[in-house]
Amino acid sequence: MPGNGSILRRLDESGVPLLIARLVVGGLFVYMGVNKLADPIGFLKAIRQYQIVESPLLLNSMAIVLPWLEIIAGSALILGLFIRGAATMMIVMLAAFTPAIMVQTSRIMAETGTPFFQVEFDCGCGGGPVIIWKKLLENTGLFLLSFVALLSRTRRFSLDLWLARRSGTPAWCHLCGYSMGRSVAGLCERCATPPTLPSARPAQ
Amino acid sequence: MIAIRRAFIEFVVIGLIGVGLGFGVNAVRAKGSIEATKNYFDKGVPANPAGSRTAKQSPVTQVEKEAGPASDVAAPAPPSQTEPAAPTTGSEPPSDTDRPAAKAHPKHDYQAIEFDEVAAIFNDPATRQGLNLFVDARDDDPFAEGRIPGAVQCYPYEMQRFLDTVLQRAGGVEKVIVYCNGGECEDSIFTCRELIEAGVAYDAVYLFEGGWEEWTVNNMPVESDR
Repeated sequence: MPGNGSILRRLDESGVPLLIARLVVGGLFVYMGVNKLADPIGFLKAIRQYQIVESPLLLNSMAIVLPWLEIIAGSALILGLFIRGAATMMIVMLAAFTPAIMVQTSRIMAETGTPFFQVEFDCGCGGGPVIIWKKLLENTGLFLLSFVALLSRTRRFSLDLWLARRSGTPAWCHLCGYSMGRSVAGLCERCATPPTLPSARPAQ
Repeated sequence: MIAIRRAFIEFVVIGLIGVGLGFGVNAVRAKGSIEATKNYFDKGVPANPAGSRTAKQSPVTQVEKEAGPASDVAAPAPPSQTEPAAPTTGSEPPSDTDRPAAKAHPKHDYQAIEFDEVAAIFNDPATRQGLNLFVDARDDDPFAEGRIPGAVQCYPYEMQRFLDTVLQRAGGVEKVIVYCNGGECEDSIFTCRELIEAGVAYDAVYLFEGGWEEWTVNNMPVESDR
């Protein structure tokens, strides 16, 4: 019920947080993926420095596939298609590489005696050498925004909703784009609420 | 539960598209293609290299040596610490027991050569006559920006692009001097391995660890495409 929802829920229903999360995370991942794709050998050398895989087959496959995963998942987020799957993909990639960056940072600190806030190297993130504390902060932000995209229950401004409307068996409410739950003729519980309730929206 | 299953299916679909596109595009791209099974970072000397292609066994060199003084103008010999064993008749690397102690380098198994010796070889008339070869193990941009004059490019991750040219030029030379950026750069090590694997004699290959950094710091001549 709109009137009874928490502030967070109402904010989510507006679709704005999801839209911001999709555009920021999707845009950044597409940008970084394209950069990696432009220099696959450079990316291969960058991920090798983490020493997380020994097998050449696995290492090379990561260099071949990861840029495309970033581009496809990023594009999906921007378009609003497969939002939860794309957000999960982002979270998995961030969860794999952020700790690897931290381990590499501590290795560099131990070997060279460089203070944490001055550590800088090419993390293979697609932007060349970066100051690592900024990168870790950026990844934390991306992580949180990916969770916003994963947990959001609305699909306003997205291709998912457009497809749901066309499919006839929508997963998202025809009217407000919210998660269907118990559906009533293509409308969610919220939109199908009888108009006698002051908070209800008319189903036009 | 439905939402989780749906998210999982979407995740798998995105993953499959990524894998398909990644390997598909990698197979057809002209530059920067990665061989999935190749170990690009092997620093060890190959155990069974192909047939030798160096001057010491090359008919071309024998003719040159007999014909004129060109090959008699010997390049300055490297100091004893990097002096290789007597030229081998084959391209197989010497066994550990045959190898001079100086070759036991902490980072690699190849013959290191210092800047002074490299400079002497560069200034040697024999080099201008093609009896020594400089091999630049860097990528296209830095190579085009500036290189040791007369150097041929041989980026170890794209050997198929360069190998024919390098082997053609390496046929008939005394020394093949391989360099990259210097410092932490390892690409020259991988190029040494690739060259020896392709048939260049182990004893003809020298690794200039100071590389491009040391070359430019010492204000040596530079060749550029820009």
